[in-house]
Amino acid sequence: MIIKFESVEHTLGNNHFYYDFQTDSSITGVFGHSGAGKTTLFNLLSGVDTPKKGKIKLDSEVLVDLVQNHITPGKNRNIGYVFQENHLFPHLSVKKNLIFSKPYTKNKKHYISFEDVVSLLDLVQILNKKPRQLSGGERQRVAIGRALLSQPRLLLLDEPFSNVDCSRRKQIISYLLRINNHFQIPMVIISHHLEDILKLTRKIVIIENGRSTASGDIFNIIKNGEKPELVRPKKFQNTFEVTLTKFSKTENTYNFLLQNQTEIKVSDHSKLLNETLTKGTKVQLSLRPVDIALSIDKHDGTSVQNQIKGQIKQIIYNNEGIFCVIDCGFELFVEISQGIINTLYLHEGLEIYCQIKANDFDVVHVFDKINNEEESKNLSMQNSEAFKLTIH
Amino acid sequence: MFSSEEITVIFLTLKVALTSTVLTLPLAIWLGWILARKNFWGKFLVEGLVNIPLVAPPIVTGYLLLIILGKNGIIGHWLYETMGIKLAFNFAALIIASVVVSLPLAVRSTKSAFELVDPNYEKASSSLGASKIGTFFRVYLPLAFPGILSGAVLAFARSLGEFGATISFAGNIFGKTQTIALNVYSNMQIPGKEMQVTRLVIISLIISLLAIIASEYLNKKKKYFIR
Repeated sequence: MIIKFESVEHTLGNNHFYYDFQTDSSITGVFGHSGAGKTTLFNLLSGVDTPKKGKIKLDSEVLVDLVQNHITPGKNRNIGYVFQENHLFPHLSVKKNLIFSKPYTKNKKHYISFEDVVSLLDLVQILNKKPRQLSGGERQRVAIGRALLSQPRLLLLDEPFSNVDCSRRKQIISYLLRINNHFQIPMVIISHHLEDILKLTRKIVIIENGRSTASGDIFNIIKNGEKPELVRPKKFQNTFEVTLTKFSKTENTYNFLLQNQTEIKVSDHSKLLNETLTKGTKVQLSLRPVDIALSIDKHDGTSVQNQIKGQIKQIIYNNEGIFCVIDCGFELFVEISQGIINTLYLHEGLEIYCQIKANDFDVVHVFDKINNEEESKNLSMQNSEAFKLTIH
Repeated sequence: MFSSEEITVIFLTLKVALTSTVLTLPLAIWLGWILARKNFWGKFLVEGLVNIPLVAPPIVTGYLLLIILGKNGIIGHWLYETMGIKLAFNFAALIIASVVVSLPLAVRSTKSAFELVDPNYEKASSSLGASKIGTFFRVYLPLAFPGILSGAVLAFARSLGEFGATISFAGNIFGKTQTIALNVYSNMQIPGKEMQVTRLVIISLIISLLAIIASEYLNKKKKYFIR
């Protein structure tokens, strides 16, 4: 889905806002400091507010065009909005909150069922509770579920991690990836925590002082040296979607295939893999730039279990340090120092090995197993040695 | 225990209080809603007019009703001449006087109940596809319900004790417009009626006390409800 803001202007009291960007990612992050104008952007997109000037488009559909005096009312935009403060209706149970939109979705195509939402977001135990009886994380999940059941074509999430602690944050990230994967619903997520956004997507829109100042792949934003004071490479996360190939009980590691068919070993300290998993399961991993070491040669007899060959594409000098973009068939962002550049004579075009310990990877999310039974059967026939992993 | 005269008076009083509460409530909800949530020219004037009976002497309210709705009043004369409708010194007058004096209390309670509802729920409701009317009935009204109920109880209690506006606009006609307050007033002046007066005063006090307790309970529930 393409979201396009064309010279959109808005005023709230003495604050002026200007947005001009386009994004087409299945997950887009909106990043900026508190009060920068991120929520205002959502209010304009969802129809809570109407801009003074400009044009807002979703794919080919024009939502707002003030030259043509066209404004689609919010309730007809079919955009799900999860507010920062949830705004769950306090007089209704979780179940009634979830089905609130039912009378208004009669003419819509129902592709998200109540049962699916309850199961995906683990809400079955709390269906009869009132919002005041829920924890921050539970409220957040109910608000997401409620928005999903309005059968939206786009889901907006305003600071979904703000009212939850660190462990819950991880859980919410996992739920969001699960929803995105299961329902194929595009999402735009606001956060002032870049690390959280980057676990979900690399496509971001940066908002500063009421203006959209940069958009696109964060990799390119960093490489181009844009917004060095805001986009801090130290906060960057390399993220990978990998495929499980096997579990080694003796080493207590999981083997995964990267996009370039390189096999990597990962030991799971997050315990997210502590379940029965079949070969072929997709998993999202993240890795900090600081956790990758570089070497000119491949080493034997080392505790580092992953040595991925690549080529230095770019060396970036930034306020926060020196960073290296390595092309391994996919791009890896690595933090280095001037000392290492001097010692190893690092330069663009040099072939190099990225050394990564198995326990430096962070397991962000385990995607659902293949839902299509037919496909699943075919896979198990192809892999006659289909195995199950049970971690004790 | 009660004489037939007392039973007639008690029943008429309850009938008036219930009828006027039922009629006051929709008006109070509408006024409470627009005063809490809408900004319009003349808002202060509307608020002032609604609240006048709260501060003006009830006898003045009754007199104003008489000169507006009485047989020779500004509107009353026209109603009588064109449709033969007589609004003063009958059951209708009793209800009108009761509605006018209890309306400010009901409006104040409903207004405060609507003010306590977070307007962000409207955004959430709209994002889920609800219209403004849908949001009012499915979100605002249920959330303001304890406050509305508290306003209804106060209106009922105010109606039970109404005296000044009633006597000047509806009169003091036994079996027709004589409520507990008017009966107590009449019998206080007749020697030997002390026991009847005492019984009706006690009945009046009990009903008023129960109404106040109910109103306080609902007010507390209102704050708990919207959390």
